[in-house]
Order: sequence, then C-alpha cells, then structure tokens
Amino acid sequence: MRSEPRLAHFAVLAALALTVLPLFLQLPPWVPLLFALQLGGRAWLAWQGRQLPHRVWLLLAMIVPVLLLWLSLRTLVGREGGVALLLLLTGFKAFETVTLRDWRVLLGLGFFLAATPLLFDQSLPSALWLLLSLFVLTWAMVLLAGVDSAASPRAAALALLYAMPLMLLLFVAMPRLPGPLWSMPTMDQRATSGLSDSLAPGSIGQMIPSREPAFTAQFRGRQPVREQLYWRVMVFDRFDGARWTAGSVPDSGAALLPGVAGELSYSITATPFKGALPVLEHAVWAGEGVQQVAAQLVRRIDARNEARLRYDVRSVAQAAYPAALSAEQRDHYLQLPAANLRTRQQGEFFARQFRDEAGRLAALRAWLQQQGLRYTLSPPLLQGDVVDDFLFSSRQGFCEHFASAFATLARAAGLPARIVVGFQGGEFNAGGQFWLVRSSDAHAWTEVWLQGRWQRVDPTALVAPSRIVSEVGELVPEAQAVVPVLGRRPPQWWHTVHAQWQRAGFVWQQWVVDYDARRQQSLFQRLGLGRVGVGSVMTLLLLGGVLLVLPLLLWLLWRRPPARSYPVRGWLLLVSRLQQAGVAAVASDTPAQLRDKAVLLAPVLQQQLARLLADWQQWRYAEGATDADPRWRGWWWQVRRFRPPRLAAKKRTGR
Amino acid sequence: MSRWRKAASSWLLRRLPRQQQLVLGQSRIYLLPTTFGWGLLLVAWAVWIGALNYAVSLAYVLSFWIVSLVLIAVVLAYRQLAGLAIRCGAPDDVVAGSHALFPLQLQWPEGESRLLRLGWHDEAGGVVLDRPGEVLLPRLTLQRGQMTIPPLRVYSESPLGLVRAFAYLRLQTQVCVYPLPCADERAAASLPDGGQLREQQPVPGELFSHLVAWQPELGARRIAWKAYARRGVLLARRFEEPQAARATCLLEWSAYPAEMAAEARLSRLCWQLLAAARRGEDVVLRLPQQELRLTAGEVRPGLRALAGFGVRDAQ
Repeated sequence: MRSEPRLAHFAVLAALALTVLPLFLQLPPWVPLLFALQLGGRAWLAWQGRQLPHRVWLLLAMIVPVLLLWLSLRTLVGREGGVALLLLLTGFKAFETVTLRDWRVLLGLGFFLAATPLLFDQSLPSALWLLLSLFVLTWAMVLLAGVDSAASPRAAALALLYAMPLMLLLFVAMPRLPGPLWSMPTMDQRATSGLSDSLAPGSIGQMIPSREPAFTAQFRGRQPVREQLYWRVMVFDRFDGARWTAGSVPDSGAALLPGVAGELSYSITATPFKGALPVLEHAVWAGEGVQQVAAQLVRRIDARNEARLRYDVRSVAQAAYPAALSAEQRDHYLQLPAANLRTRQQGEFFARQFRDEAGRLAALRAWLQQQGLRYTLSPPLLQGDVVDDFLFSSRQGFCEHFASAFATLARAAGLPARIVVGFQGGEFNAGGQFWLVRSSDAHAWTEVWLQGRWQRVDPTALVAPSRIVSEVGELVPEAQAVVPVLGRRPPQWWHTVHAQWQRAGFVWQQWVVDYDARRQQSLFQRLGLGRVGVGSVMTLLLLGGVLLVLPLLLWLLWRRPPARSYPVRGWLLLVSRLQQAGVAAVASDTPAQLRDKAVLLAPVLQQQLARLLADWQQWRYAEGATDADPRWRGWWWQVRRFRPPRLAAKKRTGR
Repeated sequence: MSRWRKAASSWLLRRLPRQQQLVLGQSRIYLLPTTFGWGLLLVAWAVWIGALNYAVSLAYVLSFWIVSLVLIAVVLAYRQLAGLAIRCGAPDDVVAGSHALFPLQLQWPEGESRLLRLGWHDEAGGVVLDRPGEVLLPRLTLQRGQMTIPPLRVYSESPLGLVRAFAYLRLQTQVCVYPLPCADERAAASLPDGGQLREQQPVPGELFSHLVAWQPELGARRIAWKAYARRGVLLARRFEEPQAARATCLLEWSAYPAEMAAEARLSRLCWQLLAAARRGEDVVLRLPQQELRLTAGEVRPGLRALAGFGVRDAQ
C-alpha cells in the first residue's frame, strides 16, 4: 500500500514544528509562535484542499514580521537574528510548496533548522531532542518517498540506525579546526552563571541561590579535601568605598611557583568569566590553551573567545605564595578612599598597637571574630559607608561583606591587601569521579601581603567556619537542593538519581560536546595514529570502515537463499544420501527412477526407500496437497534417519 | 532529457543483451543521487561549516548523520532492485496504431517490501508496484510487423528518496502487429466449389481414415487389435467423413495495381481477409512466395502472415 501524499505533507509540517520547539527558550517567543502558526495555517490549507495565497501577498505579508524582528532584536544576522530570520522565511516558504520537489526543499530546510537549537544549547536533553527531530524528519522523508504509512516509522528508524556507525566514525575521525573560520559573534553570557567584573554588596549574593553548574574539575591521582578547594578566578584591588574593581596593577607578571611534592593534577572544563578561568590556589603549571598571568590567575590564550574550554592545570594546595612587592605596588595595595571612617580608625588603631605585622594580622582576625557578625544571604541593604555600616551597625552579611570589610581593615592597618573572587568547595560526584562547582559556590576572600608572601585570609571562615567545610546549602536555605514543583527537601533516591544525571551530563560534556581539535589529537595519539593528518584520518576511516561499516553493508547486501520447504529439503537430502551410498541418483530423478537405481541396496533399505517415496508422491500430488502439511516434518525426519551404507565399488549401478 | 543523458542511456542500451528473462544483480543496477539527495548533502555541508565555525559538536553529529543517511540510502535503494526477477509473457496480437499490452511479471522474495516504478525507457512515469505480480504495460504500435518489446526502465527511490536505483531491461518478447485494415470495395475473386485447392477438413464420420496413437479416453472399442498384434503398439482407428463444400475466397497480392505500395496492399488484404471471415468463407491467401489455405473462422494464421510479410528481423 502506498501512503497518501497528504499524510506526508502533514508529516513534513509536524517535523518542522517539532524541530524548532526548543527555540521557544532562546528566541523572543513570538518568533517560534508565528512559525508554528504559519505551519498550522499551511496544514489547514492542505486539509481543506484550498488554493495557496498568491506569491505577491506572501511577499507583502513577510515585510511586517521581518520589520518586527529587526525592531525587537536590532539585527537580522548573528545567532539570534539569523536563526529568527531563517525561521520566518521557512514559514513563508511553506506557503508556496505545491509539488513534491517543493516539499522536499522544505524538508531539507527542516534538517538545517535542526541545527539551530544546538547553537544555544548542547546539553544531553537537547541531544535527545535532536535525535527525536532527526527521526521525525526522516519519517517525513520516508513518507514523501511514498512508503506505506504503516511501515514508514520502522523504515525511518532502521535507516537512521544503519547510518549511525558511519556517523560515529566520521564524528571521531573527521579533522576539527582549532579555531573558528570567521569571527565568532558575541554570545551573551547569562547573568546568573557568570561572575561580574566588580565586587559590590549583592553581586555574589545573587548567584548563591542558583544551583546552575559553573564548571567541573577532574583530578588525576590524589583528590583534594574540601578545605583546599579555593578556586581562584579574579582579583580586585581598587576600592572606591563601596565597590571593588580590578585596577591596572603594575604587577611583575606571573610568578611561577616551584613545583613541590604532593601537587594536584587536574583538568577543568569551564566557560571563561570575562576571559578568566578558575584554577585551584595556587597553580604551578598551566597546560595547552591557557596561560598564567599576573596575580596567579589563569586566562585563555585567545582571551576574546568565550567558548567553553577544557584545560589541564597542576596546583599546590596552599594558602600562601611568595611574591615580591615594589614600593609602588605596596602603595597601590594600601590605597583607601576617604569613606568608612570608623573602619579606618579601627585599622589605624591596630597599626599603632601592633608593630609586628604578623601579630597585627592575628589581632585583626581575632577582632573580627569578636564582632558577633552573622552569616546570612539576606542582609539589610547598605548604603553610603557600606563597610562601616556592616561592621558597626547591621553586622549581617556574607562572604563579600566579610571580604570587603577585612580588606579595608587590613589596608587601614597598613597591610597590603586585595580581594580574590572565585568559588569555594564543590560537590564530588563519586560515580563520575569529578567535582561539580555551582554558581552557589561563588565566594570572595582576601589576600594579605605579609613577609614577602601573599597570604590567604578567608574572613567568612573566621565568622562562619561551617560555610567552608560543608556545602553552602546547609547554611543558607536558599541554596538548598529542592525537588522541582514540590519544593521540599529531596529524599535520598532523588540525590542518587540526580548524581547519576550529573555524571551522564559530565561524560556527555567531556566526550561529545568538548570533543574538539585538542581532544581529537589526544585520542589519535592514544590510538597510536600520531598527529591528525590526511594519513592518520584515512587510516582511522579505513580501519573503522572495515570494523564498523563493512559488516553492516555486507549484512544489508547479503541475500538469504529462499527458504526451502520440507518436501524439497527432504528430497534433496534423500538424493544426497543415495549418492553417498554409491547410487547414481540425481535431484531431477522421478521417484520411480530412484527406486530403480537403488535396486542394489539391501532389501530392508529398499523397502524403506519405497515407503518414503510412496509417501512423498502421495502427499505431494494428492488433491489439495500443500508443502505446509504437518506430516512433512515427520517425513523429513525419517529421511534424516535413512542412512544406507556404502555399496561395494564393483556392485555400483552404472550410469 | 539532456543530450548527455540521452547519449549515456543509448550507449547503455546498446550494450545490453536481449534476454528472455533476467534477475537484477549488481552488474545491472545503477545508482545515482536524486536532486533531493544532492540538496541534503548541501544542507549537511552548511551544517558542517556552521559546526566548524561555532565549534558545536552536536552540529557535527547532525551533519555526519545526514551524510551517512545519504550513503546508506545507496545501499537501501540497491536493495529495492536487487534480486528482482523479470520476464515478459506472450502479448496478444494487435492492429497497427493501437496499444500492444505487454504482460510483465516481476517477482521478488516474499516478505520484502519494495516500491518500484516500471516504465518504458523513453517515457516518464510508469506503473508503481509494491508487491510481486504481473502488470500490463501498454505501448503504442506505429507500424505493421513484428514489434520487439522496447527497452524498459525499472527504478526505485524508496525508502528515502535520496538515491535512485535504476536498471534498463531489454527483453526478447515480440508482438505481432497486423496491418491496419483498409476498406477495399473490390470484390474478392472466388474459386469454384470443391476446387482443387480446398483442403479436406477432417470431421468425425463413418469411414475408416487412418490409425492414430491410442489414448485411454478413446475407449477400448477403438483399439486396432490387428495392428497391436502385428506391431505391439496400441493404436486407435480413426473414422472420418468428407466435409460439406463451402465457398472459398481467393485473396491475391497480385490482384492490385502494380504501383500500389506494399503496406497499402497488405491493409486491403487484411480487410478482405476479415470480411471473408465474417462471411464464413474459406480463404486462399496468395502472397509472393507464400500461399495459405484457411478454413472459415481461421483468421489468425492469415493475419500473422500479413503481419510478418517481408519482416525478417524487425527491431
């Protein structure tokens, strides 16, 4: 049965609609909605069997949405603009599809549209969605080719399945480019997951309730302990009384620390935060694609590229690192604005009281601990002299308040100080053996320069030690994991499922999404193929072809011999048994001829043969005889048991 | 059809042997991507460029999957034709200018779903087939004679429409095309009754005629026992009676003016032959180097003689 063409047309429209569904999350919602309406309208016209609108009307109708698009996005190119424009044009194309060729063009556009949601999101769910889209698109293709509607889903699934090994082979073997062909359009970072480039009250606080993953780290060999996990991302050294920013530090470049025993070796997969990448304090070696810059930070080599990156680092987990400060740098790290008078007086008091710098620092820490500060994510809003207000009146805050206050205090006390922003802690996934660091792990701490070393001081740990040793969720209800919809604390099984899901996402990220030129190179080396080049790619393609694709092709091309029925099989077996016995029987003999040729067999065997042949003749030529007769099975078994011994050579019947 | 395509297909057809029946295998099946197939490869290329530029791994997956789908479509399309057995049954004779119906039998193993299109190599479209069986393919006959079945084309784009598998077939069946009857008002010459040319038509009767091989349905009474005693074979006696005389019509090639073209003569002879058959007359048909005696109602040999006149080995 051939399918009705109209069904195929509906299938094409449905496939297109399904393919672009994830774009609802990425584009202004009216664009996909209009697209869906266009497809629906086209389907309605097909259902009613009506005439399509004239091309002139289509062109006129196109102007409004395109104009609207330009007004709302201010662009018709780039990621959002280009995808939205393509969507609208495809929608109008649907209104001029008449012939089979037109429908195929539309379907081809659908295959292209399937790539557009991937520009925004490459997570596991969007991969599953891609799979679904591919299936529906292929199904529509099969229907357009005229295959019966009942058999079409199977045909589509099989075609995709057969194509999969080849696809995997190409995915692994096709060379990747290390950089883009033309400049990448700026991809807007989402506010929730990124650290901002300054520190003001509330800038980290807004990140903490978000449980969105920020980056993952995988340690080789020794695993770190939780207290060591200070992920350094940015350093702020200029204070205007309320806001900390990164000043132009006259720094002497990267201070390469000597590697010591017990260093941690790990790789991180992260999206750059304004070019800066997280690294465990303190890095001693940075791998390919990244470089160590001033203040022990690590940046991407191509700093403008904001794409996700996987890089290797080695760190020594310690709270201090040696650095020489010039007088000019010392002054820079001691600068304070005129604001926050009480704090400055307090600092100056300590400077007078304690000549010894180490003793002064210890006194500052002790003083901060005695102030009765409280760790909370919803402190009262501070204005004006934020540090004074925090230290002497509200006394409620979280890491950024503590860090800001302590750095001000230290500077006032004559100790060069600065603020480090990054992440602290993380969640260890035992199944996948990796650490997942979330937005909620964002943290700020201070560094004080003392005796030729930058010394980490985490004021939060002084006030609320549990923040460092346990997850932030235990301290702050807002950052707790909750079951979606139900909003309760999750049961144990939910944690297990969640951990497994994270692990799948991690593996996915590692092996599929981040499979780039570098990873391909390392895979090629592990396979013993050397560098990615024409020769090694060909080798891999041939090798994979022989192992994966060739068996599939052979299986597809192999033609089964037609199944023989019991009477035919039995007859051929009988003839071969007689031949083995030395009787010159051939398959084309009649039963009578066989009987005649077998006269030299023992009389018992001759009787057996005669009975077999009589049965064969009777059942095969009787009225209404079929090969499906159940008696044939028994007859076939009798033939199998019929084994005449070999006749002596002299007695053999001649031809 | 473009010039190159025409040249290619005529070259293909020239080197094909004519066959009574054939089973399609890898040496006969050709595979080419359809426009849609090329279009989808273009889409895959565009997606690949995008993936390269934006470093989107999943877009690589999509692109390579599309490419693989086109490649796999080659094998799947091949499977649509492979193992297809084709033969042509005997077509009925036709009159020139009407359609000859060629009964084509296509067989493939049961349980394999296939979707094929069978048609003439020089005509678009064709008959769609989705199960083994026989189709009647009509072809306009243009001239009298023996028409050999023109080359056929069987093709399939199933199941994906990305690659077309096709094969050209040259079969050996011939159809006999009678001349188009042309009214001839001239009265046909008649032979006298019981003329020497008339053949005795055997009709069962009383008088012993000859011996024939005995068959059970003839019954034991008819066995010629004397002959059996002599020769040891069962023979039956056959009795016949001379037939009543009937009018005989003489149709002659030379009865027409010398300048009349052969085809015109044949058309008129054909008309006369049919008219004589309608009247229930015996016919003597005299063609150069050929003479046929036809009893009433026996038109076919006459028509075939007319159709085959001067035809040695028509294409």
